[in-house]
Amino acid sequence: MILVMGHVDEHSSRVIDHLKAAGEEVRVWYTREFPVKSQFAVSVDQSPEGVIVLDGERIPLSRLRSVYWYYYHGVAQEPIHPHGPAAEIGLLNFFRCTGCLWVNSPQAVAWHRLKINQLKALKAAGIRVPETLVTNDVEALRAFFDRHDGKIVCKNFTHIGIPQIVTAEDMALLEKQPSLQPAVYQEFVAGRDIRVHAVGDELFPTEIITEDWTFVLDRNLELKRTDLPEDVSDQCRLILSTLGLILSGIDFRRTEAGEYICFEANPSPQFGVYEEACGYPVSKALAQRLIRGNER
Amino acid sequence: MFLILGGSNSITNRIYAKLKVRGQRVAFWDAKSFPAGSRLAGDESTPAQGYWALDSHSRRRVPLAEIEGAYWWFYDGITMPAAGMQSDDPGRYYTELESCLLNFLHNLDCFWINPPRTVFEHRFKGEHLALARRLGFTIPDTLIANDPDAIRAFFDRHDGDIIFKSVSSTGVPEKMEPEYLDSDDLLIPQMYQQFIPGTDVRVHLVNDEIFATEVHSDHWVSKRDILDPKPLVIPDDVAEKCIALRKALGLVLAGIDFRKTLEGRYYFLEANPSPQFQTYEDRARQPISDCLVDALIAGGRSR
Repeated sequence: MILVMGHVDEHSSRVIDHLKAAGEEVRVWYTREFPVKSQFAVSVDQSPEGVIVLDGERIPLSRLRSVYWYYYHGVAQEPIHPHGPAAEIGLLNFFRCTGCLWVNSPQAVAWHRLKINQLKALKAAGIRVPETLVTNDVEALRAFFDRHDGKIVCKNFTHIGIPQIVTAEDMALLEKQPSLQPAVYQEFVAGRDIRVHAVGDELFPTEIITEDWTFVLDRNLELKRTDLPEDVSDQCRLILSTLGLILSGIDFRRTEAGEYICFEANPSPQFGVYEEACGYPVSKALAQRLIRGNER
Repeated sequence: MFLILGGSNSITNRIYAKLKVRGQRVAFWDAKSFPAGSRLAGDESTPAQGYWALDSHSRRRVPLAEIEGAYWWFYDGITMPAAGMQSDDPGRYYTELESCLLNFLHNLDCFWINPPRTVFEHRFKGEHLALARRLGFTIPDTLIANDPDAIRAFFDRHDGDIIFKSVSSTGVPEKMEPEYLDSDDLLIPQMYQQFIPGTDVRVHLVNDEIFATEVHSDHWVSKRDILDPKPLVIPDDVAEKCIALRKALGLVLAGIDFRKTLEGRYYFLEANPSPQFQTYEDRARQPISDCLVDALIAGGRSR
């Protein structure tokens, strides 16, 4: 049996369909109703024994081959359960004790919150990453802004959002504020966006053709298959091993000079649109990896 | 320069004073002052460039390269600015701001006691127990659960002689009473353990220096009142495993809790990355803070 963490939508259903077509049983765990509608128990043991109870169905851990971490919804809040938040760390403990394969591991997903650390680890591994500053100090921001000739962006840390270009007018406004909200700033890199979905050693690179530098809101963007230079393919595999990922959506920007700069490696990418546009078998590759479980 | 993360209290004051006596520059920093009361800037370089302005009053900034070492005493989140309270989603806003700080701390390349990652990993006690078992420690029969059926079966298997405690934080364990078995509170995940009769043993480690004490108490669990910690010589094999576990967890300083049976068998309970060692130091006369200060200075120098 394969457990899908999250919910069913046009992305996760692609993987679920492949799993079912291969004869696998699939369950979906929507943790937003934990601990009321789902429970667990696990022994701390060399080969952990335990159970997951989903809407009353008792699933022994021994039946579980792997877990696909599609989306984590957190746990119940009031009024579903008054102590939901207190229950959350217990649930996160359980995730790490199941003994089966996770794509991706809870540790790797948690580490994604530490984006500066990720960039640092990638840089140390020899991957080109954008210069990045985390600060709540306007003088530090000014120095960063000037060093990059006024070409910087501001990004969110924790959720998907659209990066904003920081303009000279923004800087002037910020400098009048008594305090600056902490944020992460990056050098602006001009170029073409390349999204590489990786499932283990299999790489599915897509070129994103758009007039909009953030491309997120562009309804007319075009996605097309592309080939990666061999050294960039090697870099993708290095990124996965550095960050402990099996599945990733790696965002590069390719400069005019042909240099690939890695912005981030997402541990739970939504690859449906890319797979559709390019005819890539990402969800099938992922399903096969999940079915293999801990067997390599 | 050395930083002490967390407010001033009797333990941190002691470390502060001892570093000062050794001629070191020291500063306290309380994360609760962030973001309104302190400013920071750090980047993705190795080591991080940037600085830390420890308070909003002074213009003095500490370049990160000057920070040799940091003692992680306590972290309990940041202070949400007033603007965040009015945000559509205060929880998300808080997470966003806190992430800035956590990214900064994790990226601060100095000699940490203990490294931020190890402190956060401490919330995963189930994983730590499994690791301790792999390293050869004996652990009590343990169940992590919020499934009432499984909890009742565990209770029955141990003839009702079990305790429960937080799976993530330090707290006082409770004895399981039969009436709890019907409570809705069972839906909150806890760690359930076979009760081990005996005494509590606390082993502090600073690198490979070991300070072990046996704690006598009027209660079955000595966390309620540490009456009389007495220095204890632990068996060599237990000491070796303590060092192995400390290393495996990436810790410099650790406070490892055991239960010791009447027959002298040691049951591993947990390894704390920010132990409150003061009572043990004072009453068992073990120079833990001296050792800690030595380790900070030596570690800072070696970087």
